[in-house]
Formats: sequence, structure tokens, C-alpha cells
Amino acid sequence: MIIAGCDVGSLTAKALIMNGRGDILAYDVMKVTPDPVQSAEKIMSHVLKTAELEFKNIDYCISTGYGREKIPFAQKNISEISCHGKGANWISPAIRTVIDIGGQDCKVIRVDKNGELIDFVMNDKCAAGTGRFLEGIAKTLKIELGQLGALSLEGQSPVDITSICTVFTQFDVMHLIVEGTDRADIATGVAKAMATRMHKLVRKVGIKKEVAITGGVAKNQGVLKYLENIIRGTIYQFTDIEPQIVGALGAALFAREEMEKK
Amino acid sequence: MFLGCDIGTGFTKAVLLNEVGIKATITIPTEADPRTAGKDAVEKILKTAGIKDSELKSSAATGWGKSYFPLKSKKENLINCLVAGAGHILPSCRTLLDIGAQQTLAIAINDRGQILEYRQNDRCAGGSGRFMDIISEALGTSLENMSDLAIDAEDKVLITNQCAVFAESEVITRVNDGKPVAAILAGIVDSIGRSLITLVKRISIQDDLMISGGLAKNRALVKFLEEHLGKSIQPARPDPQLVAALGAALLAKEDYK
Repeated sequence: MIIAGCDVGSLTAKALIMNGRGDILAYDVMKVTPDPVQSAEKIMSHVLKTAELEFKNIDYCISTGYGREKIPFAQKNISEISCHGKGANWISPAIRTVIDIGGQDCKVIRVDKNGELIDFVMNDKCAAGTGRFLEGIAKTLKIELGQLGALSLEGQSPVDITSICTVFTQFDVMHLIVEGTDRADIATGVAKAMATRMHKLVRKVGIKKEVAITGGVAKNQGVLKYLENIIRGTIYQFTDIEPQIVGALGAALFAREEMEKK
Repeated sequence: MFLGCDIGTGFTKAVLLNEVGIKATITIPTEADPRTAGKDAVEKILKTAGIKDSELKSSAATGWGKSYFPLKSKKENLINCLVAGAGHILPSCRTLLDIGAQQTLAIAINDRGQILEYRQNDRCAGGSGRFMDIISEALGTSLENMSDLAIDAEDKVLITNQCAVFAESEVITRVNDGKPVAAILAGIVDSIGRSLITLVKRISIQDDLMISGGLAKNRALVKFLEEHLGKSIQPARPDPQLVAALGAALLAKEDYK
């Protein structure tokens, strides 16, 4: 049995292929094109090729993410909230809270011992606390998004970021650069502001241990460290699997359940 | 001679007054460097007017970057400057709506030129001047051109995102969907207009209404506000961007007496 999950987000598309025993055969992440159908087909073909399979070999596929309703090769679509909870709980069954920071949204998801959704909160109205915030700051600092996390661990006297608005913070950062402020101090201040913003959302559903973080921002070690300081606890990162793939993994797990029902 | 300088987050504006009226004005981009912008504005306006700084009797600075102003001068509150400037331009002004790059203000003024109440938004770029800059950059059109396109638009594409960052993505998606740029711009004007209406309705609105700040030059936006408030709105003359700098110069003059 071959099952697949496909997660088309606002910034990246992810696909994962699994067999009936739950062995992951292949997965990958790529940047989206403006057309979600094209993005989905591209990432799935690529992953199928890695696993030496073809579209016709897929027994069941579930799509998730921002573009989930448009994916032609998926039999069903499920919200990314359920998929993230499911995926995270499968990787580590002790997980009850999942913080997922995507490109354009931020979610906190509470699941039961089976990975089924209990409650969630989501911000998709404001770029503050999302990947877009960090992307904007990295651009203003003229560094790669991937470098921001390491830099934010180096700040000795972090700046105080007073605005939550991405656009206004970018301007404040420009001004700090002009004033000759150390870039690491800026990056550290930004990571702390991001963690504070995320914590505001976390508080709305409450934290139940264990806590995991998924999505692109999970790769930012600075944000992770400051969020751990605020919640006074460890946040699991998935070291043996790409954090961005958890939604696609959850979709594949739901696809497996669908097959088992048959 | 009296000098007023408004170091804003978008532009730095300076107004030079003599005994009869405005002698010179200047507007330069601040580019997040209030120190340089303040210094350049002073040098340029003095050069334009052909005077030395020793001929300045007094000066005042206002706006986001006022503490960086190079001359020894009083630092004035932005709202006081706006009200002083507005009263000079239009003595019958009772409501002033000022749209800066990062701060939007709605101010109620009494018949003696005193502030009755005000509301501001400086927390979110939605509805700000910078919002329009971001969209204009994304579409590769000038701000003037945007106003003309929006005012002549036959259709309107609804922009659902209030957040400037998300609205920028939404605009790009709509362009890729093949929607006409004019219709998208009409949607953007609508979005900014709606947040301004929300702000201004939180104060008591009395005639006459005046609008200042960079976005006051956007005819499509002014038309939208007039239609939704059911009132006529005058953009500040001669240049809506200069109201606070003019007010600062007037306060400097008053202070000197």
C-alpha cells in the first residue's frame, strides 16, 4: 500500500510518501509557484521519483494547507490544523501541544493521546508572529532567513522591539542599522519580540506537556530558546524529520486511516 | 526668519517663515536616518532661501525624529503642530485627518483652535501611508499614477487583508489572476478608506474637515472619504505634507515673541 500527503502552503509545498507499515519512503519541501495545482504536482512528482514510484502507484492521497481544495490527485482534503496535530503526535506520542509557525500564519494546536484535535487558536490576520515577520526582518538586515536564528543567539544587549507590526519593525530595524547598532543585538531583540508575540497566542489555549514546534520558524534557534524561557519548559523539535513536513505527514497518516477503513 | 521642521518616518519637511508668510519649503525622504535628513533639510532650505542660519530668529522640530534635529530648538508635539498649521491654513477647520507614513490621526478642534479630542493609529500599517507605498512598489506604479488609476476604475477588487504584508501578497495574487491594476487599486483605496473612517468616527466630526499628510494628495481616497462621511473634505493647501512643519514654524515664531 502506498499513501501520500501533500501540503501546499502559502510559501512552500511539501509532499510525503509512506507505505502501509508506516515507513516514510520519501519527502521534500520546495517553494511554491503562484499556482497551487502546479506546485502540488511538481513536489509530488519529485517525491515520487525519489521513491521510484509513479502517480498511479498512490492508493490514497490527502491534501492539506492553504491550497488543499484545489489538488487534483488528492481523494480528500483535511485542514492543516488536524494534520499538524496528527503528524506531531505520531512522531512523538507524548506530544499534546503543537505550535506551528507557518509563512503566513501561526497556530497553537492541542491534541489528545491519539493525535485527535481538541482545541486550537490561529492568527492569520496579522503578519506579526508569522514567518513573514522574520522574513521581513532578515531582508532588512540583508541576511538569509536561515542565518537569522544563529545571529539571534549572539546578541549581548538585545534591542527593545516596541512595535508588533512587521512593516513598522522593519523601519525600526533600518533606523537601528543607521544608528550603528550591532546586528546581533537587533536579531536577538527581534527573536525575543517574536517569542513574546507567539506566547500571547499560546496562552489562549494553554500549554499541556509535551510541547512541539513545527513549521519553518522551528528552524530558528533564537526564537525557540526565548519561547522556552517564557514558557519555562522544553519545546521538542523534530530532529530526525524536517519540521516543515509534519503537516504532510499528518495528511498521509489520515490517508492510511482511510485505507484501513476500506 | 522662523524655521519649522517635521522629521517624519517617511519624509522630512521644513518650512521657512518670514514676517509675511512662507518664504521657502523643502521635502526630502528621511530613509530611516533622521540625523542626516534633519541636517540636509536645514542646509537645503537655507540655501534655497539664500540666508544664513544666523538669520534664523528661532526654530522648532517635530515628528518621529525631532530629537535628532541639528539646531538648538524647541521640540514640539506633533498634534500641536498639526493643529497650529491647520488653523493657519483654514481657520474654520474643526476636524483634521492626518495620514502620515506610520501614524494616522483624527483631531477635533474648537473655534479657538484648541484640541478637543484626538484618536490615533500607530500600531498597525493597515490604512497607513506606508501601506500605499508598499502596494505602489509591488505594482511598480507611482503614487500619483495610482490615484489616477483608482479614481477612473470601473470595477473594484475586494482586498480582504487588513495587514499590509498580507495585502501585498493578495495584490500580487490578484495581478497573477489577471485582474486589472485599476480595479485592484480601487480595492486598496477602499481598504485604507475603511480604516480611516473607523478612526475618524471615534471623534465628533464637525465642519470644516481638512485632510493632511502624503495620502491627502490621493484624490481617489479623498473622494472615498467624502462619499462615506457625507461631507466635503479639503486637502491642506498649498501642500498637505507640510502642515506639521508649518505649524512648527508658527509655534517657533510665537515662542520668539
